[in-house]
Amino acid sequence: MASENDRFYLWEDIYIAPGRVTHYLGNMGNDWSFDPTLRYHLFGLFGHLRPMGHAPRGMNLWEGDWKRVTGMLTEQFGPKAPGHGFEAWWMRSNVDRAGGWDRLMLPGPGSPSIAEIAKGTPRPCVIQQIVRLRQGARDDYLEWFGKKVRPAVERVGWKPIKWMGAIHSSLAITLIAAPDWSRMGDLAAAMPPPDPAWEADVETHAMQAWAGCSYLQRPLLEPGQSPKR
Amino acid sequence: MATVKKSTGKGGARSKSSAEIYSFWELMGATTGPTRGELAHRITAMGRNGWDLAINLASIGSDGHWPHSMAVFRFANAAALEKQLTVGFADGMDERDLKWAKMKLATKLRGDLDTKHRSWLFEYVRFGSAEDLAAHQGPDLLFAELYAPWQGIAMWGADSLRALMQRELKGIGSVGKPGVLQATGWWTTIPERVLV
Repeated sequence: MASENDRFYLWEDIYIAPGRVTHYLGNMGNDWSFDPTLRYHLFGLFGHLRPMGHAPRGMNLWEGDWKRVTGMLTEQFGPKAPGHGFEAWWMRSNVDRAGGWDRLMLPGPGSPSIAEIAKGTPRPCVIQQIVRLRQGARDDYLEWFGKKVRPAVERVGWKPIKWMGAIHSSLAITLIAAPDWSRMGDLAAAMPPPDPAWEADVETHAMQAWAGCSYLQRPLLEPGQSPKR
Repeated sequence: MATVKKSTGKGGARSKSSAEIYSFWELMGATTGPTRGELAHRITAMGRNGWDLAINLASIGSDGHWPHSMAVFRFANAAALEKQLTVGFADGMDERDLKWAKMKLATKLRGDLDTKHRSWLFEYVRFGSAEDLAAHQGPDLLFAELYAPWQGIAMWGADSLRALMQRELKGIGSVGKPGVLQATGWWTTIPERVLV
C-alpha cells in the first residue's frame, strides 16, 4: 500500500521571461522558503537550449515525499504566510518568469533517487522527453523504459536519471543525461522505439543543468543547502 | 532578408554521426512586439552566431498563428550540433518580447529544398512507427525527429501561394493518408517584402 513517506516528485515547466534564463536559474537556487522540518531535495534546475525544446523555458524537479510536499503546499496556500522568505522570493522572481505548468509525479520502476544519481559522474547535459500516451499505457511504458531503454542508452555513454509518471494523466517524463554533448547521434541510434500500441506522442528537449544544481554537487547538497558561490 | 539555401542533400539515417541534422524553429511574435519582419531579421541574425540558415518563412496567419515565423537551420553533422549545444544559453538569440518559441531536431529522410519554391505547406506528422513515416508518399521534403523517428515534418512546396493553392486543389497534405495518426499543418511563405 502507498505511504505518505513514499518518494514523490514535483516537475515544474517554467515559462521564463525573454532573456532571463540565467537570472531565473540563479535566483531559484537551492534556498528553502518554508518550515525547515519540511525540507526536501531540489533535484535540479534546467534551461532549454535553442536547437530543441522551447525558449525561453526552464524545468525544476523536486524530490520529496507526499507528507512533506503536502506540508509545503499547506504553508503556501494556508491562512498564514510561511514567514521564511517565500513571499520575498516570489516577488523577486516575478521579473524572471510569467507562469508555468507543473505535474505531481511518481517514479517509474527502478528510477533512481537523487542520492543514487549523485554517486556517479556529474551529468549536466540532459535530453528530456514528455510522452503523452494512450490511456492505460503509462505504467507499461515506464516499465519498458527501465528494462529496455536504460541498458540501451547506457551502452553509448548516456544515463537515464529519471523516468516517472504523472499521477493525474497518462503522461510520462524521462530524463537521460551525459557529461557533455559529444554523443548526441549515438543516443539517437541507441534509443529503442516504443510499442506502437502505446501511441506515444513525444516532445523532446535539450536542456542544460544549472551549475549549482543539487544533483551535480559532490558531495550531494542537503535539502535547502545552497552551493558555494 | 529571407533567404533560401540549397541543401547539400547529405541528410540521412539518424544513426550516422556524419548525417546532416536540422533544427526547426517556430517563433511567436506580437503585433505589439516583434512582427514578422522583425522575426525574420532576428532569425537571419543568428548567422552571425554560427547558425546555418536553410530557410526563413513567415507563417500565413489565416490558417495558423500570427505574427509567427518558421526557420530551418542546418547542422552539417553531429559534431556541428554538439558545438552549438556546448555554447549553452548564450547563443546570441534576441528573445525580446517573444511570446513563445518551439524547436525540434530532425534528420532528412528525402527531398531537397528547391530554391524555386517560395511557399510551403508545413506539417508536423506522427505515425505508428519510423518505417511508416519513411513510407509516407507525397511531400517534397520529409524529416524524422532525431529522438522520436515515428514523428516528423513534411513540407510541400510551390513557386507561389497561387501555385500552392493549385496543389491544394489537386490534393496535398498528410491528413487522411495511410498510416498517419496525427497531422497539423499550415501555409508558410518567403515574403517578398518586410512584413508588419
